[in-house]
Amino acid sequence: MKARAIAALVAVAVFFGAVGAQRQIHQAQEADRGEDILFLPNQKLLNHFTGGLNNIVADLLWLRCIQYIGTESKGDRNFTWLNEMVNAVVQLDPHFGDAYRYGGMFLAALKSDDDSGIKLLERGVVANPRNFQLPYELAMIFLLNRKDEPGSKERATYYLSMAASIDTCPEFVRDLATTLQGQYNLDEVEIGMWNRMADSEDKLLRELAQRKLVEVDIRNTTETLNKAMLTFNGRVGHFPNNLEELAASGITPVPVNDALGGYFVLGDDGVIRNTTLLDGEKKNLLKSLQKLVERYKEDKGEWPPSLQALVDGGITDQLPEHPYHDETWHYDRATGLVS
Amino acid sequence: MRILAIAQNTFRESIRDKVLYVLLFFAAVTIFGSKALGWISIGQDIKIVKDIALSATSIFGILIAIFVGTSLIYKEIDKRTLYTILAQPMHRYEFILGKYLGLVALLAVVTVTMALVSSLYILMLGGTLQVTFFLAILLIYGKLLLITAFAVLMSSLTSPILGAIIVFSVAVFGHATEVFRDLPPQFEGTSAKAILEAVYYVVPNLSNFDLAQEAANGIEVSGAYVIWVMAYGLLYTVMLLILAALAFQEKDV
Amino acid sequence: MSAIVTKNLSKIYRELGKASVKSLDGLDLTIEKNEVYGFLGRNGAGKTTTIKLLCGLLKPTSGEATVFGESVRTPQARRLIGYLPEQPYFYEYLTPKETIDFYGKLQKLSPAERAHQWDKLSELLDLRDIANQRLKGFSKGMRQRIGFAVALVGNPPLLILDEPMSGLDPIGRRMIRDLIMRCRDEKKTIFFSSHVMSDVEQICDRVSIMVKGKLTHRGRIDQLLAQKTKAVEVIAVGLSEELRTALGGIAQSHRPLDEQDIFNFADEGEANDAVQRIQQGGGRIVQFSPIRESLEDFFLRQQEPTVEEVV
Repeated sequence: MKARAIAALVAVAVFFGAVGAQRQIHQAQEADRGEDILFLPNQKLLNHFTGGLNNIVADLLWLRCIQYIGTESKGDRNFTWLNEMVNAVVQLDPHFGDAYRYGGMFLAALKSDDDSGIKLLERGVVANPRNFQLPYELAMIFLLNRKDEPGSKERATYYLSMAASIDTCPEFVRDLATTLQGQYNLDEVEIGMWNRMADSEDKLLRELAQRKLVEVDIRNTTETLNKAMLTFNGRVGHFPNNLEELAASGITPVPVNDALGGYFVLGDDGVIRNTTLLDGEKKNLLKSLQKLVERYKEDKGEWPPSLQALVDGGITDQLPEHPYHDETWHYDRATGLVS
Repeated sequence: MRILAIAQNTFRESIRDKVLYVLLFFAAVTIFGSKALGWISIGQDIKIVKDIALSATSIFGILIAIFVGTSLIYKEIDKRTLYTILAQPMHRYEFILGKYLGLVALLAVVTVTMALVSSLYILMLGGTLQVTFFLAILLIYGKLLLITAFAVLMSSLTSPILGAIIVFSVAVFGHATEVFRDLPPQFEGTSAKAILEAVYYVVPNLSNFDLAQEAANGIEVSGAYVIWVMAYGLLYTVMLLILAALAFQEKDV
Repeated sequence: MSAIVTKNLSKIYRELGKASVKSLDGLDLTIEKNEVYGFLGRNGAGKTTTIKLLCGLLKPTSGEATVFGESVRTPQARRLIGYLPEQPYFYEYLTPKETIDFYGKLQKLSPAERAHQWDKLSELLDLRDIANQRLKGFSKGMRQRIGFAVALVGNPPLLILDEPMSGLDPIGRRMIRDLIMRCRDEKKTIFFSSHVMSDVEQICDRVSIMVKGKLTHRGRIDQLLAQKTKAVEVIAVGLSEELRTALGGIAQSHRPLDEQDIFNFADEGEANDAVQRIQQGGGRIVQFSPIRESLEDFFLRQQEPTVEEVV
């Protein structure tokens, strides 16, 4: 009968509509997580088979964990299984902030197992990019537990900076971060982190780490090039007019392109910059600008008339500069889009 | 108007089902009892109550949807109430739709009740409620609508016990479909990839509807996510209802 | 236009792992308007299957059926039918008034029309006293009344009743019979199945007999039974002992009752002879009645030859 055939066709069409919606859901999930932090897919296997009850099982496991800590505290104080238990809890409920915090704390303090505590907290940071407490705890471990180790202050600074960059972080963390940033060089810490991640089993993380290492490399090259400019000036008496001149002087090799397809440019102000890094910076700044614009809309109920209005309206203290000095931010008042 | 009449009738009848009240009672006990677990935590009691409240709403909601849904048609045949109704000048799909809407109303009452009880309890214990918590409940309701549609489909096709088993299995498996989503990239370039992806899309993805982790830990969720999940639920439910109507159209009574 | 027409209507039940059952085999039936038609057969002969096919509850395996020209597969046909199933059951928690209202809604009657239906039907079927009691706990007779009322909601021109008298006491059966007659007076067509022959004989114009899914006989009752006189009953008084014994030997049966002698003779010939002998012997004939074969006798006779069950 015709009506039946039509109904069946409609059902099929609706099904494909559902498939489309599912794909949109994936997109929304990715957006929620933020771009630079990636989930670790294959570790989610355990979650799949608890029928949607992961969080309850995580809770029960956590309670068991606390009991374990209590019993061990009164007994041999070995805490042999603490690491496995806490990791199982966060595997089931990756957003369980307290488990990371207390778990990391207990592992470092009670079991004297800093490494496991640190690993746990790092895992927490990856899964909860908006929770400032976790990088903060990490910084504390480095500052306090490991303060005599070389490089620990740098790492603490790194984590504090991470904590400070999160919106909900309290003032004192920001202040502490600024103070430490002034004192310690972060590059080595960062390279160490990315090197560790490059060994990860996960393909996506490896790729991310490799890219980040190249970016660090480009930054270093840019700095070296700028230092070479000064050396050139010192020797010759004026700054080179272009990159070829600098290359010809032999002070340092001047690559044309970088490994990621960008290139080096000598700006009007005599500073050498790299387009890959500039593009990256531009993207990040665009995102934050966009967020500011949206916050303006939430507060005042309409798109801001201009980007300057963001400062006037008290949304932010200062507009960021465009990384490309000869370009400015474009803002479309009708759609509220920054480009 | 017919659909509404049947829906009203279904609602009134299912409200009288004693199984409903037994399940609600156990749900309440579970929620109130969860505080006890909180006593042996180090300050996670509110999180635990929230987790359990949401999970209880989900589980008991699913059980109610399955029990009432799969026995729907069967009870009417068994008790012969169906004959005089289907002999009326109405289309068969009007009956199925009416039954479904009655169940939807019942589940709305159940969900709202459990939400109210949970919320009051959490507030009483000194916790706070974020928007995410209520979004989580909304999505649970969306999930129940999907499962109920599945139960109605099964009740047109098979006996209540077999139907209940099938729907229950799909409900459990539906939470695990992400496995099929994560596997395909590792099968790049083989036919297995296409098959796995197809399976992923066909089986209803119920983990989409699960916001318990975000709600209990106070994490925000984007509006876009919620809207697309509800859209997914709606579309999939509509598909199931169309299939149920087709199945019922041909059924010998 | 006829009320019901079926052409080669058949229904085969197929179930996985079991042999298929042909519960209806090529039924050709025509029911005229304003008839009271009896549909007879043993349990399992295909009566309920036929009725369910007519009401759209089952899908025919082959053949077709129409009601007042509309195919039975459409909702329009069902608008013209008032159906009373065997052992009807309604929602227990509703009252008779709510039940009638519910079915009125299913027929998309306005609130005013529904109220009017209730007035009419509650009067007709004596439901006023129990109007607001829940159906739970009603007796069979009360349920049957409500079922009949439901069948009449919307004033359909055709009533299809499945064993309407079954399980009722004589008063209940009488009530149903009267209702059917009344509906006939209102120009409705009534098609009902039964295996209680006496009821059928009293009210039906025509009947059909179903045996194992096939229609074996149909027609007016008096025509079906026209042929056979089963026996002749002769009641006499004042017989001599000798005559009594003599006649008792010839008759099929003899039974004295008070002063009377009741004889059953095999045919009219023997009976007439007996009458002559009684009158000659000084006795008096009180009653002379040819006993026609009843519908029940006729019916039972049809059951004997076995019809192959077609698989």
